[in-house]
Amino acid sequence: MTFVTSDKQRFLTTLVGLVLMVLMVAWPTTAPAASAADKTAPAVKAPAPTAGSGTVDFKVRYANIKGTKAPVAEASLKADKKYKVAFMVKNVVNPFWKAARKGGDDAAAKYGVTVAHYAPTQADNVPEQTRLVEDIIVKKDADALVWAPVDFRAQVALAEKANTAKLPIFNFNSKLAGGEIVTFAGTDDFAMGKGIIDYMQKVLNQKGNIIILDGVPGATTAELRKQGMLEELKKYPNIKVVAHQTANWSRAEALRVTENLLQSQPNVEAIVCANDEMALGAVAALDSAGKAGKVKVTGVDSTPDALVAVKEGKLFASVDYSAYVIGYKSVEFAVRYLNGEKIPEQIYLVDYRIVDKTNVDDAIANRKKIGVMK
Amino acid sequence: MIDIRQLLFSLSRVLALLVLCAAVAVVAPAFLSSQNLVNVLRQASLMIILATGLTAVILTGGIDLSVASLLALAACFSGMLMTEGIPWYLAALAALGLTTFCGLINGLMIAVVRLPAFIVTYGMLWIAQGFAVLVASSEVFYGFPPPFLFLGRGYLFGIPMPIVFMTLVAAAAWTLLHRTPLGREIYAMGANPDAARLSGIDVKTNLIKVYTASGFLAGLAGLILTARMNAASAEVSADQLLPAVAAVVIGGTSLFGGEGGIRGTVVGSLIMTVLINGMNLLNISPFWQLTAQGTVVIVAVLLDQGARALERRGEKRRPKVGSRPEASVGLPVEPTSAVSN
Amino acid sequence: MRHRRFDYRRIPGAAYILVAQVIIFGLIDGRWLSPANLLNVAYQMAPLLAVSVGATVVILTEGIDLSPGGIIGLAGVVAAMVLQSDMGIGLSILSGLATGAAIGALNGLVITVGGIPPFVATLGTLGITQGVGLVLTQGASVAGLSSDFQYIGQGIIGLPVNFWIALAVMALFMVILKRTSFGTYVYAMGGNREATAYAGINVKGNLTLVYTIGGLLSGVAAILMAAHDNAAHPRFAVGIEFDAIAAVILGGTTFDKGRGGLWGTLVGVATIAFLRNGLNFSGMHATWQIPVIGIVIIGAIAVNEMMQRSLAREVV
Repeated sequence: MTFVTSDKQRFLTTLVGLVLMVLMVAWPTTAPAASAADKTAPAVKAPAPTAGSGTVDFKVRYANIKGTKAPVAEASLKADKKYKVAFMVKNVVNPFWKAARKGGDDAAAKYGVTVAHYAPTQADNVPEQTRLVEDIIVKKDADALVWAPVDFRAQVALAEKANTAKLPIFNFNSKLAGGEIVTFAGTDDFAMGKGIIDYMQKVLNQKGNIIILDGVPGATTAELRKQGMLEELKKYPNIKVVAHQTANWSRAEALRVTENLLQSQPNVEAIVCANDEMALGAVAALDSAGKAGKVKVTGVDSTPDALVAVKEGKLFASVDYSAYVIGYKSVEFAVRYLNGEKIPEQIYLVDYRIVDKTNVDDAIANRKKIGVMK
Repeated sequence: MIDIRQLLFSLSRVLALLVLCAAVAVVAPAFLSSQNLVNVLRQASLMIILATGLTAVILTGGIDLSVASLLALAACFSGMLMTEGIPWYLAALAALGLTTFCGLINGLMIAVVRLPAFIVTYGMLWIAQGFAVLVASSEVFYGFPPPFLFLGRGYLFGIPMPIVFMTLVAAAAWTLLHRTPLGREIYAMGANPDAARLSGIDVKTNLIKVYTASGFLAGLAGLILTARMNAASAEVSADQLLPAVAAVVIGGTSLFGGEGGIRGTVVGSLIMTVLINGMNLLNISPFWQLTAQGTVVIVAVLLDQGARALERRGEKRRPKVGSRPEASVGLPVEPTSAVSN
Repeated sequence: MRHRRFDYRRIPGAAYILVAQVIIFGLIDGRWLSPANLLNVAYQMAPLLAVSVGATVVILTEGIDLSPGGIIGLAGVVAAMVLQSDMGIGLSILSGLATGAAIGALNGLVITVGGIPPFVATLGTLGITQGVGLVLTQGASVAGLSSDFQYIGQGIIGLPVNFWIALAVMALFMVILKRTSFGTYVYAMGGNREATAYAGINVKGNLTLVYTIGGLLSGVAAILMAAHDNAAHPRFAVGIEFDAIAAVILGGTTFDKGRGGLWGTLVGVATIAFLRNGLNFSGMHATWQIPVIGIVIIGAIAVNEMMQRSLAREVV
């Protein structure tokens, strides 16, 4: 049963309700909207910029490699013992991790170690991934942790716990903002952001309206790619970012957001997206609006789906890099470290390239060879 | 009698929707373009299909927390089958069959074994999501046959297919609820379950029917979304459940059971969709969207209370005797020993 | 007044599942029962326990609270931000608790004065608190909190400190429910709200207090989580309200007769926490864990219902 309230109270609450509804739409327009000059919220301590990695300060420390053995050639590398490697990713739904995992599995098979895969049951759930790592520490049956943290800032404390428990961390994809790691393997997301803008400005002749779609706010790769894009855009004042929203890495969300943005911004030359899923969502929206091919859409990841779209001319370009190699290399570093080798490079950044119609066939062949594409 | 009250309720909500549209149109004139209005309807159609099943379930005093996961399951299952070369119509039928079957299981556990709907459907949420993830095995399925894509991208007499589906589903549901004995029974079951049972209504069968229907509609929504996106993955269930529930609630369907209906749900879904559309048009940070969604839920129901007060001016409020507690929403009620089970 | 003889069917069905889990997981891997891991489980259980205590009180009044996920997010972020501004641990904890209590009070007022059903009101608050939290942090997390603060979440005195805090909270509310007039009102409002109102009790005031308590306890959980993870984010606790409600129901609390209480909730919380931890420990891949969790939840409630039903048949 609901409450017996006097009718007068009800009238007043109705009036308040109507006023609130109108305010709700009008007021946020006066609040800070997503602007091109986005900065992180003041409450989070703004870190000092470091060259080459955008304006996020990675206070991560690289372990003192006490290994003394000279690194063995890759072809003859074999693990001393059947080490156990824990391979921790962010979720079980994004195909990106599948490629990374395959790399890890192939490396493990080649070098003679076992890999146990972990991921949170609820996608990108930080407390869950934290619990998983804590469990691994307690179980003490992993010799190495290959890890892509969901939240590179929030999980620093967790990294330090692993450090205390002497579990070596082989960080990949999202570089931690603190703690001690042995190696980091991934992409230079800041450079990729700059790279895609550098590529597009030539296509656009340094002028035009563009829309930017970001990944999940607060995620390393999302933040760095965004910063890279904005940094490069400073060089081209005639390219205007008419809308800048997040679609949270999701195709369905990008579809809806793009559909809506196209209404308020009908004159758009390009849509630059931080990953392929969002880019393909934008493409689907353009299809609906009959603008397929007239607006150039770019993505990042070069997933099989995206490569097919590039070949068909629906997606203009995507940033290609190998998640497979990242996973593979991380396990390789773990084996070398556990073998007692001196690891020469502790930061391993995979190359990236822009894939468009001119080189898409090569990218597809590549993927087929690895086995992530049929 | 119910019809007149329902009319009043939906009118107050339609008023709220119009006020919202007007406010959005003022600050973002692009809202009123025909293309945008079509977009809004198309975006709302998925939510409406989900929410229709939910409405029927909530009318009986229950809840179905598994609809979003069933949507993902249909998407992944059909996607996987089509990728394996199975003809699209067989894949679609199989996916629909699967989710309908899950809805049936929900119904059986709730009606026959008499487990609380909240927990059963929460468990099914996990089970369905789990199977979606297993079937998808971390892939995104893509590249479906054109006839299948028509379901989500095609036009029928100039109307986008999702809107066609939405209209058919809503019309069918409305007819069922208001023009058939089954519909009257559903309302009765929600309003006063003991009286309904004692007056000879086959409560068990009806409950099974509504949960099965909810599963079917969730599957349908999944297929349409997959067709629209030309892709399927397990993450499509994210952020689908609570907005659908909110749409039903904003639409005035009472958690008492026994009050409300499809018209309200349609209006509620439109309110939610217009709000988000407006925020996208204005390039407002999506962080505000969650806040706005939450506020609109409360505000819309406040308006509903106001409308009721208007209607009931002067009348003394009489509490419903024997009705199930409002908040039960599928939560367990102590088995009454007075009326033997 | 029914004579309370000990009846095995009064034990919540979840207890049997709990025992079965301990046996099964212990057999799969003996290390699961090691002190180190049990300590681990206790850490992980504490926030859910705090929230579930609040959920129990709310459900006893025939209400429901869907907002803990959002409240924890917002309260955690507020507490973390206060701590980062070097305003001291005390103020930080206070601000977190105050945020939780304030939003709980808001829930209560919307429900009692606004006349809105609890399901709707708390659904709205869930969205609002998450949204406000996201706006405050612009989607990022707040990390790097002081080490003294960490003690609350990571210190151990036999059992983890955060677990002691959660237990203390539970004990406090057991006393409140059974020995204070407020506790009586809670059961009364759940059993028969009209009669309670007619008896002259301030139902509105007490009910508002109930939801304020729910919010306050979410604030407690927020502090425990932020202290353990050393970070806060508006979406860290997404979904916890469903787990809490499931825990309360598995623990045997139902409406109407106002039966049930906090011991049952403890069993329910333990069942869920042991399940998640045990599945992880056994090495079952996440993909398989998801459906298994669903099956166990349904299995637990089925056992619960069988017990309660055979009990009800005897009572006339």
